[in-house]
Amino acid sequence: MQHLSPERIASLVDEPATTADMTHFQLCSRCRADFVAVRRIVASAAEEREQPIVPLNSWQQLSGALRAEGLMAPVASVAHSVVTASHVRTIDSAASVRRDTAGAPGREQVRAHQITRRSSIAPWMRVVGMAAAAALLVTIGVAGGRASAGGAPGGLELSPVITSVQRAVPTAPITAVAQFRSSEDARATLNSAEEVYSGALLWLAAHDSALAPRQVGGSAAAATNYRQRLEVLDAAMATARRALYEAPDDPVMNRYYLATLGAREVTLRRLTTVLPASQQVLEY
Amino acid sequence: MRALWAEHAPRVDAVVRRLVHDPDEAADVAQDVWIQIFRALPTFRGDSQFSTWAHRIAVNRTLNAMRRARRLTGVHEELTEATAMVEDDMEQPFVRESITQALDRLPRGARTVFVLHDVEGYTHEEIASQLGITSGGSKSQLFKARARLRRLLAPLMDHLTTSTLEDGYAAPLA
Repeated sequence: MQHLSPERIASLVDEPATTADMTHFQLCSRCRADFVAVRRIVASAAEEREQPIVPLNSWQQLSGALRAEGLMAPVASVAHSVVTASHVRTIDSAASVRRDTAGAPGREQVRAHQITRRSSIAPWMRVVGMAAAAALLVTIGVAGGRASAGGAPGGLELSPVITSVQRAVPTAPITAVAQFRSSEDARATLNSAEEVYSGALLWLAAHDSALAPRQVGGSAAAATNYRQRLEVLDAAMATARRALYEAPDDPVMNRYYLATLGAREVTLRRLTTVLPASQQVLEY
Repeated sequence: MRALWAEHAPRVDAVVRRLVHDPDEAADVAQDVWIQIFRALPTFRGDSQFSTWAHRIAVNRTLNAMRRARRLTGVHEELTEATAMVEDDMEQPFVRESITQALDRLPRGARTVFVLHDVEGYTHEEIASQLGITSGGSKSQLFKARARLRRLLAPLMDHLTTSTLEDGYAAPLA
């Protein structure tokens, strides 16, 4: 009896077998075993797709290459990115948030101030720029929320937005900082909160009924609202990207960026669900 | 950027590593892939998931790098049937080798097609377009690669196959 060729057996994993093949398999245990083995290999290969590996390069190696390509700011200009506390302080002031600070500045604030003073003028200016970018991001986010929640089209009036920011930002950051024992502790909390925040954000973007066609007067209106939200998210992403160029390691901006990116993807998918069957999103 | 890299590098780099045989070369290609990803990031419009978009860039960039490497080294390894021939000196049976490790024993052309089709899920038409071959050539390479892997992994697979056959054999579709 002539066996099936190995290539023929390999092809039968995803190609139909002939009657002759089937007859042979019934008679030949060796070819049958070969077929089962090949099919198992193919199944294992598909599982391999989901297997992560340890990255082939370190971030240090890659960031060096990215700087060489001009895709990241030079090392000297990102040294300030460790001044996390000063970012928070300047963000608050850039957003004109009224502070309810009855007492003297906390230790973290003083330290941040000292670190900022030790820096040269250029990094200080970058911190302010970074803070302004973050404040703008918050502003855009709030405005986006208002716009997409049924507000007047193009309703990005400055005053109400800043008022919203004033309400949204905690008024006692020093007390909040004091709850953490260390930077690691704060980061761990931030990571955990970020997961919850991102999950809620994505869920809302996917399930919110406020923008459902029946709530806003039809699919066309819903599509308009989703487009408005996409515009806002695009602006937020562009701002976050500029900030990340200056401070690529900044954890807060990285999180803003990733959360915005996720919300954008979900919104885009929602937009496709309210478009007429004859339309599809080719580019946005 | 770091967060983006940290989240996606384990899978993006895995694609590169599966396609490129040499670990050092794979690291160089992975770096090139990430530079390209960050360079193209402003053009990412969210039409697909970021991971899918990055995966496409990884595959395209890696295949380009492999073509470039072949030109530079002068190794003219066309995607022909000849490249998938089994060399006797590589037929050493090795027990417990994973598929990933066994892939390193495949000729470049067969390995590329196997990874693209059976691991990454590309169709023969997509592979043919990427590699500049016919879809028939892609199929031929794939079946040779599978057959070769079957032989390389025989000690391991036969053990598993025996138990499967005892459990009940599922025939191919007629």
